[in-house]
Amino acid sequence: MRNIIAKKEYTTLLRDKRFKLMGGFISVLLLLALIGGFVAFQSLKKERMAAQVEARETWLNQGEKNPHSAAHFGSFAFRPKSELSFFDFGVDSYVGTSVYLEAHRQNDAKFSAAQDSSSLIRFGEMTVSFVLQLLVPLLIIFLCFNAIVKEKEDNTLKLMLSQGVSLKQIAWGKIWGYSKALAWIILPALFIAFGLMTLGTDGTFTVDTVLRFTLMTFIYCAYFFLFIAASVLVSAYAKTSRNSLLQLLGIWIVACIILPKATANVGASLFKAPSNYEFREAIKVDEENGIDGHDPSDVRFDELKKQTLAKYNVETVEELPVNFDAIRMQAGEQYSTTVYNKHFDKLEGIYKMQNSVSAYSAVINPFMGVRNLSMGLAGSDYKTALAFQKQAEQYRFQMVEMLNNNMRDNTKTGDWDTKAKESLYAELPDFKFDNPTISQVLTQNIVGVLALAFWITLLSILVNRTKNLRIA
Amino acid sequence: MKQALLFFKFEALTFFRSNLFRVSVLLLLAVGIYAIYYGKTEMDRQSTVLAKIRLDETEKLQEFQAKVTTDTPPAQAGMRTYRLVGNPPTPWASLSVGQRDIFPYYIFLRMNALSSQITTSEIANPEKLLTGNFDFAFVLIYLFPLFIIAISYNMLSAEREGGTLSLLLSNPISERKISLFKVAFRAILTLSIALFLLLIAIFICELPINGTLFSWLLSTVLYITFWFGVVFAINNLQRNSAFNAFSLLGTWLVIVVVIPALTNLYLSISYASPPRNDLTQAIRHEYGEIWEKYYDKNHRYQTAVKLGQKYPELKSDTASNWSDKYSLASYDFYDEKLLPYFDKYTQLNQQKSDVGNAMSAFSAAALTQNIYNSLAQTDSKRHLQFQEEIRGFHTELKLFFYRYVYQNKTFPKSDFEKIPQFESKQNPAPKATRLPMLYLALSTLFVWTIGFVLIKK
Repeated sequence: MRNIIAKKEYTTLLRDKRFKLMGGFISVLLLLALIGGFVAFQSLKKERMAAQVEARETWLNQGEKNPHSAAHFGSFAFRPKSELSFFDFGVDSYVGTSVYLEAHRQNDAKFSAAQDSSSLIRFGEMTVSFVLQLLVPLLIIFLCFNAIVKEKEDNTLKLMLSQGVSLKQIAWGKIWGYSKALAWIILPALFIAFGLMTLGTDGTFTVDTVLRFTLMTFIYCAYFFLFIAASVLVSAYAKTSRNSLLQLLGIWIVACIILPKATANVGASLFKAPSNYEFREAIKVDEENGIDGHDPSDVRFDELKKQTLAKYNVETVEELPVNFDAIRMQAGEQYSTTVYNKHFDKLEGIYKMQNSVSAYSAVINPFMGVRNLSMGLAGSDYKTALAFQKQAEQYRFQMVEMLNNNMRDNTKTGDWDTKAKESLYAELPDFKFDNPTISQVLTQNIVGVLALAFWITLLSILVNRTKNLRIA
Repeated sequence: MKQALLFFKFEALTFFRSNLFRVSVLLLLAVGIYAIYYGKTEMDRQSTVLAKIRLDETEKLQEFQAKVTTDTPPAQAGMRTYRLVGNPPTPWASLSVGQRDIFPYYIFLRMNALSSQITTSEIANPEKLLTGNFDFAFVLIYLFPLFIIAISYNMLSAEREGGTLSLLLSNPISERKISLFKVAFRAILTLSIALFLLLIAIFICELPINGTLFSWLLSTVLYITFWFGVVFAINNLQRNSAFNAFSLLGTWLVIVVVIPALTNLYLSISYASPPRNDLTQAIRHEYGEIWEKYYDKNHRYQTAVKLGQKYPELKSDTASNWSDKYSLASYDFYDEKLLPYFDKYTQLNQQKSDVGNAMSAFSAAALTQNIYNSLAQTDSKRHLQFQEEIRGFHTELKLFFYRYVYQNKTFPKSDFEKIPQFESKQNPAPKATRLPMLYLALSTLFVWTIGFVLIKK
């Protein structure tokens, strides 16, 4: 019986002018977003890869110089575009694209796309995820708002019920029918997306990418199911189709437009983050006075000197077989990195708290869960950007440490002129950024996963319970 | 007139009896006040940061001043003098935060090479930046049209569906008039709410009563009138309520969401943000060059002489203080060499935003946002202006200290008072709003004309 209803809904919907018009419109937008997103993705990816290669070459061919000069010369880390980010730009436009890696300083990632844009960018970018998260639900609402209430208004519902069909069967039939019709819009887009993904990776995509893509598909299917089920449910309880439409549109506006913005704002108001100036000043103070305030830099210096002299069993730094300046600089680097990491972790903690308001709102607003999961799987969320910042800092430390150690072992204290061999630079491996793994993404967004599961269960139960609904 | 008043009275009666209406008005007011309050706290936070840096600036300078002796070379005084160059928010920024959360709004500057100082970025939570600000501009641009649609989608169709329209028409009144009266009533109501919220904003954000207020008001009235034009046109199609709701929300979606998002897509394809490889490489390379050539005596001499040719007052005998004169001169030439790179990216961005602005003409929402941000001086244009202010002040600060070094003068303690300090001058409301305002007026005229064409005679 359910299948008959599903088939009827599916056939009528495909014949429906509304479906053709709106479905066509959404399909065109999806196609534009796919192609446009891919073109933008390709050009950014190529540019950044070229930039990274160039940075590497400049590093390798900087010529013979004192290791410390090389550390000041430094290098760059460019944030690579992840393979699925053409699908969902996420926060990519709002985070810096490159970090300058140099001695003594942990630089911020600079040059975000948002800084290169006018305020128009705040309206959002037309990406596939944008269409899927915001516009497809609206399409679903327009198609399904009168699913059952129309049968009530046309008095066909009583007729159906008198044939021995339960309302539950009707509801599931309608959900299934609408889902099938919707597949005509979503599936082609998914196929194209898969094709583009193949093209973007030159066919060398890994199991990881395919898995990400599959998970993303599941998440969006779950999301659409929620909207279809909610629409059918609301239409079952509504008195008129007008009421049903208004209620559903209200839900859409609150869930997709108002709540995301409101939760992000409330989060930022509740947990105050420092400005760049305050952040840097706090680091400076800690470096000067010691993390706990009892270990100022000159005391640390004396301690280090005493230890080093004792280690080599000599009286003065001049007698040391190694370069004490390099030891001192490395100790300073170590200390400043510890201080920086402490403050960076604190900042990260604040942002995490801010974002948790949105993340937890997934419990009442599954849209948030889908948005975060989609960004996470696409490798374009905040956590990915954070991972980049951290890996770049680790790489910077590795670079400076290598150069300092070379200077320590090959020269004597006070020697700033001896040049290192050019082959030294190749000892630093190329910078390689690893996206957070799928399991990391899922753990980070566990609230979203659970919220989606919760809502699917809840709506399924509610659909099943429509059999108790009394039809006046 | 009498007829209109009678109409208004009964419309008002039905409205205030409706729960949906009461709830949505209260909601809109609550959301509006929250947005104003939120924008205000956000901008207050930025003002606090600026005030804090200003305090630090004085404190640090005083600390340094205490340590200065007659032996302190002027170059060192310059090197250790940091000045705050800030871009304080205008009172209007609280209503339209714009790009202020993205662009750095201060720089702690010293006389050294500007190029290695100017590429600062403000740290911010990217997820927050992505979702954007819940400011008053958002409420006006996104939510007001939705409110308008909610109270007017079935303006005529409800009467038709309820069978009261023919009853109404049996009176000596045309459908054209009914339609106009109904729109007029709703427009007055919505404008009153907007005006009321703006009054609250005037108090909360201490907005000055001036031309900017007038322009803000004008654009708000135009934008709301635009949406009533859309409502008027679609109601005059004489279709059922569901169709009206469907097409009005569709229009909202196209104007507020789809056109701006498509424009952004186009811009990100045609003007993808380059990684600025050449700029970053040049910043590093040219800086390295300064120290490479540090021991080349002839080069040092030539560089110092060249600076004297550029600024006659810095013509030096180059006899004493070699190293300072060389490094200061090379900083200046370093900035000079890098300027074309900075200009290149400024121009690229300018081009991009010009195209974006031109394409905004198709969306009343984007136009209104342009106007608001321009009035609040929170747009990228203001940011460019700020960058120019930074450059200007840097030159002033640089020349101040350079004079001591090149004219072989000492830097006495008492001269600390003479160090230039940056004072941000409040710029008058920009004229850039004129064109979008014109486009907005034309869009409004356009939808109203369609509305009148569609009306049943």
